[in-house]
Amino acid sequence: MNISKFTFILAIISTVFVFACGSEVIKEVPVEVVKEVQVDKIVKETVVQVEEKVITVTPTAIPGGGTAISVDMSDFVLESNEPNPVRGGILRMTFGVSVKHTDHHQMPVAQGAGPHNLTVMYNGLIRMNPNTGMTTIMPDLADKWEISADGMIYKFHLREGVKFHDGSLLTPDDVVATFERIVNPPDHIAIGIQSLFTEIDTIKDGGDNWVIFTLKRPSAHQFNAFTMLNATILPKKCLEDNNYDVREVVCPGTGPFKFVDYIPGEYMTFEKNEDYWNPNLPYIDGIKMIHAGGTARGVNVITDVADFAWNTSEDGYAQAQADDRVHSKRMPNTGSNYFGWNNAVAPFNDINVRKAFHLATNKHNFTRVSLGSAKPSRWIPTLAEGATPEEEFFNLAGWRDDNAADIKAAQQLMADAGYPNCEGFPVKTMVGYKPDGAGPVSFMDMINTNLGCDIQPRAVERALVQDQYAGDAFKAGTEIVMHLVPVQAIKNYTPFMLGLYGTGSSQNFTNYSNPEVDVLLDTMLGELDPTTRAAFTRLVQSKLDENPPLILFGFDSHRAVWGPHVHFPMDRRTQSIWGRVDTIWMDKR
Amino acid sequence: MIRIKNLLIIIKSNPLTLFATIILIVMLVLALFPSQIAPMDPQKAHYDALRSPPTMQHLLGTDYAGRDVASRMIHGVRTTLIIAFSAVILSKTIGFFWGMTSGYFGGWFDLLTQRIIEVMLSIPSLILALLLLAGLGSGRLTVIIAIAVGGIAGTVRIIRSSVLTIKNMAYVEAAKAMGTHPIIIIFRHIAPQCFAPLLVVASVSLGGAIFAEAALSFLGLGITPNAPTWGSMMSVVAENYLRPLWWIAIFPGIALTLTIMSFNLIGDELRDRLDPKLKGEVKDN
Amino acid sequence: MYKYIFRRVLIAIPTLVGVSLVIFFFMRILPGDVVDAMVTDETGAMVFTEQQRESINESLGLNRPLYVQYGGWMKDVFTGDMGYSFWTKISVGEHIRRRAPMTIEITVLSLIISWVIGLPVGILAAVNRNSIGDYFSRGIVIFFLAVPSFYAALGFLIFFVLVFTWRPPVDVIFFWQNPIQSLYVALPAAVAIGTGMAAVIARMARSSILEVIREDYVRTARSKGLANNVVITKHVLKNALIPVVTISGLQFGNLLSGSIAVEMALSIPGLGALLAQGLADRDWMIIQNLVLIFAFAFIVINLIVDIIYSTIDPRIRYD
Repeated sequence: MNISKFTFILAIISTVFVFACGSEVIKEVPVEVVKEVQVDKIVKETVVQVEEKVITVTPTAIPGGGTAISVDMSDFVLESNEPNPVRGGILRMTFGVSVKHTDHHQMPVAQGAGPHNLTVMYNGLIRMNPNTGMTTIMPDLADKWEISADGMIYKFHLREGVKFHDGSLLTPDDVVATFERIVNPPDHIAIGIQSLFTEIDTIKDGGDNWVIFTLKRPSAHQFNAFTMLNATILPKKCLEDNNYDVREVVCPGTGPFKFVDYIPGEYMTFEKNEDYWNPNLPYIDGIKMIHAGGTARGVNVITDVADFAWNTSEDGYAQAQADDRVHSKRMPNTGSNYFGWNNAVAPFNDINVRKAFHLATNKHNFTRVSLGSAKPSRWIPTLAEGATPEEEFFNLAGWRDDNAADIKAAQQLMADAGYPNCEGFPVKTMVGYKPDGAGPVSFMDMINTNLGCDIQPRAVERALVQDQYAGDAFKAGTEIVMHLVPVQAIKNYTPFMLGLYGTGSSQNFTNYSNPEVDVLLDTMLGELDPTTRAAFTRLVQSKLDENPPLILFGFDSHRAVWGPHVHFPMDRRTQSIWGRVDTIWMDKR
Repeated sequence: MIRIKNLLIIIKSNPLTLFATIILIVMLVLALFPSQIAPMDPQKAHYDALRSPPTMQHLLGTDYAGRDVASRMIHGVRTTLIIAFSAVILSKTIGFFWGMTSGYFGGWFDLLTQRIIEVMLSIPSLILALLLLAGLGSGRLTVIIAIAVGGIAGTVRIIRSSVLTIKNMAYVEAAKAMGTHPIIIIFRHIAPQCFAPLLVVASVSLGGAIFAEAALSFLGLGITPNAPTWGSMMSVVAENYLRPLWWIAIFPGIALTLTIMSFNLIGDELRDRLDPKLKGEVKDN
Repeated sequence: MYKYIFRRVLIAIPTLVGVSLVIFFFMRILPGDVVDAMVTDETGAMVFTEQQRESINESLGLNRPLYVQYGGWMKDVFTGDMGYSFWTKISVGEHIRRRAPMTIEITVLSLIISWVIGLPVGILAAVNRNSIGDYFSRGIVIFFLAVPSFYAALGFLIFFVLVFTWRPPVDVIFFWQNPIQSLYVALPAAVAIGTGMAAVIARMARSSILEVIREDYVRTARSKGLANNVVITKHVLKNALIPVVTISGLQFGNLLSGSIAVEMALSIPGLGALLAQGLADRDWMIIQNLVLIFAFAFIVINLIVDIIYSTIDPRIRYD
């Protein structure tokens, strides 16, 4: 063999070798990617170009993928990330939604009734660490945990001596009872986070203050699901005494704050739990949650009527950004409205009609009418694992802004389906809570203008929106329902996709059924390697592009506002996850 | 009865009446030909001009969904007028017949009527309308009914008192003595005398009906959402008050004020001309 | 005179009963709404079985025959128990206690404003009949009569936000706790409603004065040589004000209904806003009892007006 050929082969081998090793390197180390993005901010009618940092974090490797894991964090003590915290004071927080009942798990996973309000009085087994921006896991009620090598058994050891607010001791029985209700809810209630715990098979008291969860198969997301804000432990006695339905009763919790009272539409108050199992916390004496409308929440912080707001309106945020007296930050959120039709009956059982609707709606117009809040989202939030970067999918049909060609194609598809210029199209109404809002108005406008249809809005009360899926109009295929997606705080969006797009799933109100997607999602549930999962996710997204189940309005962002005297690591948060403020403290005033 | 020539004289006599008549004619034209007059489709969203203040392209600006405010206002005229007129016609018709029969026949029916009227008058009409809408649900017909119900009691009272006065007049007594059937007495002799007060009450009620329709849509209880009515356009601004899109609230409000004012002025003029006794205002030239 | 008062009060009672019947009847036209809204929520579908739905019906008493329900409601009202809001589970009485002071404050201020502005305008217009000032003020009156109160309120809000970047606070602030802040909340609303009422008062005052001026006893007073303003104040005003007082009482109804839209426009947490919220939620307990209270207030106010009327004008008593 001559030298040039040998060099060539060597070059190829080394290239392959480098690639192989290179990808290994990328797989093992979580990488923080910081993007600088140009954002238009409208501040008092002048448009200011500002650079905003958008931070995305790739997920950590999933435990149990081959090695047994044993974690002992019993000497971990949570405290403020800043030195010399000041004790005392009542935190005035503004929130927006009327809390309709007090069952922390029956609260919907979707936005609306605020599990974050009651979160301050409960604990889960493990949680995400606010001091690292909610990216790493830390102990909550469990100070030690073990995961079997095959990923099928999770064991949690409960801290000793933890008391509920009524003085009773926390035991494994409480954990078992709580999770039994989550995994197998009785007939008369509906548990919002059930869809995130589908892989659990049995829950048992393992003796010596251990609780043992056995899974049906190894799962990529199941362990992280325990960090969810409302995967909290309720006392068994309270559950039993109330027939497992505690919507009218505030069950005592183990958390840093105790419930005091609630005047709907006005405020909810909590006081410090003096016997909290973490003797350091909390620093403040209590929380007063003040009910206020969207813009008012930001304004309240600016005018010092409140100290902290998890979310305010775009108007309130612009005001806060322009005001030196407060801090504000925009963080991506995982809530979105969607427009859902009945995929099981005509006309939407025809894939042409579905595609036509997808192509005829310019998702960037949703961004415009929401003042930049809702971004086009390709079936999952952009911060989810495996999401397509915007630069890529903003060029795809159905997702691009310059969509004259898409509209033409949509019109042709409608004609092919037998509804040229929407003649004879049976869909007459779109129903929602506020169908005269900018979002639904622009949806109807695009469909009516681009396809020639005549869809009119219909309003129902917020609590009845979901009922419309069982209504005659929807069942006959003549109505579209505007609803909210379930919110999920963990990065692996497989459970979400399963819930919304999986055949027969509890959140799949649109009766969408795509066998290819079902198979992919089922595989992903058990797939432990994140890169492979990401690849599968891309595949699912393109399958949904070809066969759209609904139209997403777009996942938006939340805009937090807080006073400079408030000490809480908001700067590290990369996602809008509301809830625990046990490490918050305020300067003396 | 008023003849056309007299009508023109009346209108020209008072500058305010002239002003009101012009406004009403303009409203009528807008109500009859909205699509021809409005510059754009009221439901069409203009994404390049979202939330735009008044410009050359959109003379009265656009709303939060990019829809042209002027076009929406023009299309709103028809809805407002139809609802207001329907409600007034309904309530005055019912009130007229009820008041007449109650006043003429008297007896237990009259007593019952009086009690019912007193009860109805004890609930402010807007609140009565809200109550009805809560029970019946929103929609064009229910809004008309809700507004109409509030106007019945006052009409009954006025017509009834007119009838009581007329009933005792000599010619009515004579007709009764001649054995004329009550129905004929009512329609031939009494009713025509009641038209004047009826007209006055009706014209006054029109302004109130327009206000009621606007208030109901402002509160979100009007006809279908998205339909361009002046009241519903104003309700959006109330929620987003930090950077208010003032043009969405101010212009429909001006239109509302002008329309109500015009109906009130016409009503005043009618009152002055037709029945000085009723208006309680001394006419002075 | 006491006989007259007694008779008026006696008549008011069946009126009140009639009002309660009307409210009750109107609300029951479409049954089942609230229960439907309660048994499902945003996550699950029907959360209860048919059997449990029945038991909810029973616990709310919606199963009983209508007259029993009505009787129960009336009994509760008389014992001061206005039930519990379906949605918030807080007693309606508690809601009202928190919200009423704000609305009462607005009402009282509106009344004061309407008299303080309306009377002088009306009197001056009457006394200077047919002058430029008279025509001008009649024009203004016509304008303010036509402006919808919630539009005026919205206009103030927009003006203050755009020009002064200030808006009134949106919390419940009791007058006795913090009078200045409380006035910040109530005044814009009171001005919006009060100016409309002032126009009515001005108009009524003007026409009433003009009518009285033509009366014989005024001519007599003038011919006695009394100065004009003495005539006006001593003889004319006292009698002319009677219809004005009456109309104020009747306007109270407009005041109450106006407060609903105005409170919504200014985001004021008063009784009007409570009613609007209750209507949106189909919360019958709130709607029923609140409307009853509104009607009750209206009847009482008019009763008081009638009694005052009868003390001033003896002719009425012998009706």
